[in-house]
This record gives sequence, structure tokens and C-alpha cells, in this order.
Amino acid sequence: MPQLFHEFGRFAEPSLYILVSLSSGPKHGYAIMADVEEISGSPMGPGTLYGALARLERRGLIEALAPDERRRPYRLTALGATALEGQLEHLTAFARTGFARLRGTAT
Amino acid sequence: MSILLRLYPRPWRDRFEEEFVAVLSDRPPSLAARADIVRGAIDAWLQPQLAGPDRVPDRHGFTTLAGLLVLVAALLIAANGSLTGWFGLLALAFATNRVGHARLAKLCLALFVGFLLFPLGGGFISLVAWAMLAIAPSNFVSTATERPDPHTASGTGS
Repeated sequence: MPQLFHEFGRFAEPSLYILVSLSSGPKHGYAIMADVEEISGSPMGPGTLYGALARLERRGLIEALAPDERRRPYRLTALGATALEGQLEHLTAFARTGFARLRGTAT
Repeated sequence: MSILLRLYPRPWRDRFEEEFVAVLSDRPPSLAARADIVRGAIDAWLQPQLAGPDRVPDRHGFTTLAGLLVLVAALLIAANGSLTGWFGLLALAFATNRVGHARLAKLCLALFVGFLLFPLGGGFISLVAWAMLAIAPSNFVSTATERPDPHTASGTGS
């Protein structure tokens, strides 16, 4: 996993899910939680959600938009999109290697 | 539920509480989610810079002066071998880190380790810890300089 996500510690995986969720458009906290649950198959706790959001915002990977009543939407920044793309490419390469070894086609 | 949110540090609540409450009103938290909130609070205390400026503005040097006074008091008590002084240093380390004096906090931790190890025969490590004292004065006279805070745009800056 790239250095950027290593720095996030236990928030690395939730952060990746959040970036994927926001890649389809801005969402507020509850919408992110619901989307991440659908993507990952397991619920994300609110403490984890905001711990990850704070880190992502701090690193400039996402940005907060003007609140809609009490709900504040977040969106992916250009830097966040680049980081997500790099991370997904890394995971794709990892998965390809894993499958190749599993099927015995790797050298 | 507001009791759980009170576990979070003030800057964090100023920044996230309203939307956090909105999330909880959309989905009342399960027992596991409540535990997750508590875990998140611990993280928020350990990483105070996540929801605010790296340093709390200290234009009048009040926290620096107060920190130094407490440091001297803790040193005097700790020099007599009192556990109160030791843990006073530890508490001061957390307190100064909380208000953004990371270097003063590190110094307090170094002194704490020094006092702790010296009676246990850790003379060398203790000396290294004490050596940090030599570089401390330049830290004390520095004025607070804040990194641009991404949240000030939403009007939470003080």
C-alpha cells in the first residue's frame, strides 16, 4: 500500500472506501456510510468514518462543501482522484499477481 | 448520545459535531457503533491536529509561561523522587502537546523518561534525555506560527 495510506494506520482501508464512494460524486456522512456498507459488505462505524474523513481532508484528498442544513457533503479533490487511481492500480496489479500465482501461471 | 460526543476534544466537536449528530440521527448507533465512537474519541485526542490548527494561537505567550511554571514545579517535586512530580511531567507533556507546544511536550517526556530511568541504572539514556534540555531554550522563545488551517474558510478560526 502506498506511503500515503500507510500514514493513515487503521484508517487506511476505510479511507480507501470513502475515496471510492466519493468518486461517483459528493456525499454527506450518512450517504458515505451507506455506500461503503454496500461496497465493502460491512458497516463502517461513525467514529471510523469521521477519523478517516478528518485525515483525508487534512491531506487535501477530499474537501468539505457548504453544509446542507446539518449535513455537510464532501467531494473528491483532484489530488484525491490521483491518489485513488494510483491505489487502485496498485491493487489491480496485486490482484493480477495473486491470481497468476494461484493458477500456477506465474514464473 | 451527546454524552459520547462529549468525549471528543473541543476543536473536533466545533468542526464535526453537527454533521456527526446528523449521521447518528439518520442511523441510531448500535452497541458496536457506540464502541466505535469511543475509539474515535481516543483517536481524536491522540491526533488533535486533525480537526484544527497545528498550534493554538498563543500571541501573549500565556500557555508558554504557564507551561514553564508547571515544568519548574514538576521538576522540583520530581527531583525529590516524588511520583507526583513524575506524573506531573507526564501530564504536562500531554497538556502542552494539546495546545500545540510539541517541542515543550517532547522535553517534558524526555525529562519524565530521564527521571524514570536514572534510578533504574539507565544513566546513559537518562543523560540523552537530559541533553534535550540544552536545545530547549530556543523552542521556548519561538512564537506560535500556524500552518494554514483548511477549516478557517468555514469560519471556525479564532
